[in-house]
Amino acid sequence: MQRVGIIDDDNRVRFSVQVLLEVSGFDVETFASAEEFLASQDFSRFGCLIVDFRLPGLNGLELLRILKRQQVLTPTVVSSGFITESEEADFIAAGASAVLHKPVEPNQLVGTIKDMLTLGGDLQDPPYSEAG
Amino acid sequence: MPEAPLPLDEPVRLGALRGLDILDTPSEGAYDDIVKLAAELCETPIALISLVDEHRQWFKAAHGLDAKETPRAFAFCAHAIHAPTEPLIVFNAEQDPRFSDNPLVTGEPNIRFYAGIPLVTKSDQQPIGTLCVISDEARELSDEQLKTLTVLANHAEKLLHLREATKQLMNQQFELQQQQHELARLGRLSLAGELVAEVSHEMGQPLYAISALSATLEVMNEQRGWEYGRTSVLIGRLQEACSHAGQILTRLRQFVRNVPPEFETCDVNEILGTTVEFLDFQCRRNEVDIQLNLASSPLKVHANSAHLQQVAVNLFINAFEAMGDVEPSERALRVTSRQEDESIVVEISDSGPGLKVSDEAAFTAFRTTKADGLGMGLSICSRIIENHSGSISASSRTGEGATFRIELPKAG
Repeated sequence: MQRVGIIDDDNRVRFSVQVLLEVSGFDVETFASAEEFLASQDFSRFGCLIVDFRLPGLNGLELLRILKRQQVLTPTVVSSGFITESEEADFIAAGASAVLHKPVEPNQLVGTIKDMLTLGGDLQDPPYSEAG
Repeated sequence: MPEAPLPLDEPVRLGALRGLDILDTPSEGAYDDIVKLAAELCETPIALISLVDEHRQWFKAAHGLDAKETPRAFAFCAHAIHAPTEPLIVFNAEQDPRFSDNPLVTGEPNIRFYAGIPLVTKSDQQPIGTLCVISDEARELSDEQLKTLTVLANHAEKLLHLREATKQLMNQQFELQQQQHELARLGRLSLAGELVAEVSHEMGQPLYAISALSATLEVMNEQRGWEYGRTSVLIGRLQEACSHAGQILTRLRQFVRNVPPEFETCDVNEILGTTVEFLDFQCRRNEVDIQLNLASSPLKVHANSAHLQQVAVNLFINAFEAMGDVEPSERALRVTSRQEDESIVVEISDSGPGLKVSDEAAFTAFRTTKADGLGMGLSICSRIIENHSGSISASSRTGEGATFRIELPKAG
C-alpha cells in the first residue's frame, strides 16, 4: 500500500489528519515543513501528498514548483484556508491535483485521497507494461 | 393665603435650576459675603440667597437665619420670581393680603419687611431665586439701599453664571470624552474587521482538527476498533482543539469589548507583551520576526490599557502590511521600550519600504488609502495618545523601513 505524506506546520492538524487517514486504512508519514519533506529523499514511496498552503519557509506553492521541476509526479492535494481563485489557479498550474478548503470535510478528504492513490497508481505504472 | 402662581415656563425654569447642580451644595464664601454685606448695608437682621425648586426654597447663603430651606408654599421669593426684572418689596407683610396669614409672618421669624431681587440664569433667562433682605419690623428701604441691594444681586447672579458656564463646559468635555471613547471602540471593531481573514484562517485549524478527530472516532466506532489508550488520546486532542477554538474567540471578544473609559496605572511592557501574544498567529503567518527589546523594569503609565493595546495592535498590523513585499527572511519588527526622563518611550520599527506619504500625513484620517497600509486607524491612534497627554510621531527613510515613536508621561 502506498504511503500518504502530510506536510503541515500545525501539529494539531497534522496529528488529526494522520489518525483519520490511518483508521481509514492508509499508511501515513508527516512533515512539519516543506524543507523537512524535501530532505526526506526518495519520494517514490508516496502515493499522494497533502500540502498546506501556508508553511513557514518554503510555502506550499513553492514546494509544488520544486517537485514539478524535479519531475516528481506524485498527486498532490493542497489544503488551504482562504485563497483567491487566481491563487487556486497557480496551484493547479504548479501541478496540484486538487485544492481543498479548510476545514476540510473528512469524507471529502478520505475520498479525494482514495482517488489520488488510484490516479497515482495509473500514472506511475509504466503504460503497456503487460505488452512487454 | 394665596400661594404664588407657578410661572408659565416652570419646567424650563426647573431645568435651568437643575442644570446648575447647586441645590444642597455646601456653603461658599463668595455667596456668604454677599448676604452679609446685603444685611449690613440694608440694615436688616436677615439676608438670603434663596433658590426656588419644585417644593421648597433652599438657601445657598443665609445671614441671620439658621434654616437651610423652607416650604415653597410660604416663600416670599416664590412670588418675587414672577417678575424677573423687578424687585419685590413688602413694607408691612401684616397688612399685605398676599402674606398676612403666612406662617412666617404670623409665627417665627415674624417677617414684616421683605425686599428681594430676582436672580436670572444666563442661557435660558430663567428666574431661579432671589437675593433678599428680611426684617421683623415694618420699614422703608432707601433708594440708595435698593441700589446697593441690586448691585449685590448682580454679583450673586454673576457667580451663578460662572457656575453655569463651568457646568456647560464640563458637560461638553464629558460628551467629547464619550465620543472619543466611542471612536476608539469603532477603531477596534474596524481593526477586528481587518483581522477577519486571519482569524477565520486561524479558526479553520482547530475546526479542521475537530472534524478529522471526530471522523476518526466514527470510523473506529464502525470498525469496533475501540482501544482504551488510543481513544482517550483522541478525545484529549479533541478537547484541546475545542479549547483552542474557544481561546481564539475569547481573545477577539476581549479585544472588541466595550471597556469602561477609566484610566488606571498600567505597565507599558505588559501591554506590549499582550499585543505580541494577541498577534502571534498573524506574526507567524506573515513570517515576521519580532525583536522585543523592553526595559527590564515595569514602565508605569496612567492609561486606559485597552486603548493603548489598540494602538499597539494597529501599529503592528500596519507594519505586517508594510512588509508584505519584503523577503520573509528580511521581515523584522523591532519593539523597544524605555524611560527617558519623565517620559515612557515606545518605538515600533519595521523593515518595510518606508512610508509612502510624508511622516505627518500618516496621521490624517482618510488622507491615505489602504493601499499604503495606513488607514484611519492611525488618526484614531493619534487621538488616543493625545488623550493620554502623550505624542506619537512617524519617521521613515525610503528603503529603510518606518519607525513609530510614542511618548507617554510616566505615572507619578
